[in-house]
Amino acid sequence: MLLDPHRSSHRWLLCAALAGLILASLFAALTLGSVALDAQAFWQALSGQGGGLEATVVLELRLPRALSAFVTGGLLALAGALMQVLLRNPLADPYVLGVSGGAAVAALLAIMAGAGSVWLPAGAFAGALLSMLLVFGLAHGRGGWTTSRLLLTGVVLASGWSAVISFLLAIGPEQTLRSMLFWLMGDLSEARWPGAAAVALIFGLLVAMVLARSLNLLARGEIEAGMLGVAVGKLRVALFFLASLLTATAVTLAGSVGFVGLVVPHLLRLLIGGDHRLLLPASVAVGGSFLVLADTLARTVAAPQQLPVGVLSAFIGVPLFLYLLRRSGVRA
Amino acid sequence: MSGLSVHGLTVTVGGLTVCRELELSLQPGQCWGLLGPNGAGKTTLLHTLAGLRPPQAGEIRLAGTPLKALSRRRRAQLLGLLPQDSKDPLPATVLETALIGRHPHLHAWQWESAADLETVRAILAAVELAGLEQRPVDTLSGGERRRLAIATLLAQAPQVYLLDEPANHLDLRHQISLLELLRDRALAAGGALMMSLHDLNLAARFCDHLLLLFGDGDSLAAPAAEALTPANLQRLYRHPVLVIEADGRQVFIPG
Repeated sequence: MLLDPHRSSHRWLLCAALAGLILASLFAALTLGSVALDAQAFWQALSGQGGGLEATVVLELRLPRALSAFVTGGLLALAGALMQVLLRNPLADPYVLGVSGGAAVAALLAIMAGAGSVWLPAGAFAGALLSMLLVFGLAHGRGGWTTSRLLLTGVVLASGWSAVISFLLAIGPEQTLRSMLFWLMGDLSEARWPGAAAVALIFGLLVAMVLARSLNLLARGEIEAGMLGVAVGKLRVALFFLASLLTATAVTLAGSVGFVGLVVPHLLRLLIGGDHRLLLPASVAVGGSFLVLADTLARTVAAPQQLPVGVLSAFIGVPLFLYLLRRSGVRA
Repeated sequence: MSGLSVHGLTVTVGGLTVCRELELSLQPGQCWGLLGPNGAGKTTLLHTLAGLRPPQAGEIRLAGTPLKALSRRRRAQLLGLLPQDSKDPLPATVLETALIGRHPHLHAWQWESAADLETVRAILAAVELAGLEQRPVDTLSGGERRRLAIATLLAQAPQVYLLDEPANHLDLRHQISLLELLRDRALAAGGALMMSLHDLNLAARFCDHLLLLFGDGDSLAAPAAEALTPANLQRLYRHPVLVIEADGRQVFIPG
């Protein structure tokens, strides 16, 4: 571990590093592409001088898309960090309880019905909420919640959704198949300004920060947390709904982007430790920046062909994660 | 009145009656042992006393107040439990883990102070984990983890200590040194302890009072000398126990 969370100098250093990462990723996203900009042209475009093509490209195409990527990545990484504590399982990701499956089924139905770009996100969000309430109702049922029952209910429901997804793909008309697949892989090429999703991310992070020290306790065990004064039942319900809503928002914005929600929190646990007061904001910053960079690559690496961002996030994330996991294993 | 008192407590779990109309008073300065065969409900009783599950009947008072009427935070300041096992699926360091014991003493937005850190480091040294502060918990041995769980409880610094098989995983020397540490710290702070044990010799060495759970709802709460008779132990374990004298001490061995 690189960081001592109890030294305020280390905490400020972490803040500075994260802010630098965010700015660097946004700079790359705004300057790279079919119209490449140097620093001077970039500042001119950003400040509204210069006008013309550069300003349009930066402000109307790249900025909304980069911010959407950041918000999506932040939402997924935060949701993943929360889900890992809720299920006390480092392998949990935002999709493990089937929220994205419900969203995907609704989104694919919307695509097949030829619904417009307004109805697609609305349908995805509704599907995610429906799936979330189903898991909650079925797992909560009689008596209390146990982690394994919640996990099993979610996983089984998720595989049910994935069967429905396969069914829809099998019967889907040829001409919609490509957009269906892109949605499933996570795609930001249709992204616009992420207004409501950004509000959800800020709200979610604030709520999560209020809960952060209790999360440190819950991560150690339910009995331990309960004995140290945490209202474990209420906290778990709050975590479930918060993580699910964050996931639903992310899925609505960009489809099901894989990997960020699983890997970013886990990687940060290895790098900066398990204190959620630092881990949660760091997850948002790193998850967001990671997806901004992945999306920048997605639209430049095979230009003019655009790749789904979910593919790129896995291409970068898998080797990076395996390397760090191996290194931390050696040191331990 | 401080300490923990229990009136007319009936606890059942899954068809088993753990205790029936139990009367008990853990007074400051007392060290209680909880003995019983496997499956008699020792853990269930400790969890009930800790407020983790409701009893079927009866009342539990902590520091004179009904347990249910205390806020979670206040209860955590007064009462601590050492669980029988701890699992650590998410990575954390030794220091992080011990520091969570300070949670009930901090306000909502407060970070652990330098004094908290110093306290916890001293406790880690006392359980012989000094130098391992930054080690990931999942690289510790079973006994080291047990000492870490004890350190977390000591960092919590409650008045009433409920210990579920504290000697698990500990080697002979650490069984003695850690139980001494727990008892001395608890009693020095005007507190009381109750620990479930399977080792009669540890019970005889450390406990001044014993609660015997016979596994059929019957129980016996008495000073240790009165409770540790061959007849009681034979009834408790359904196996004869021999008591021999060695070095001025009673030693218990299976007959």
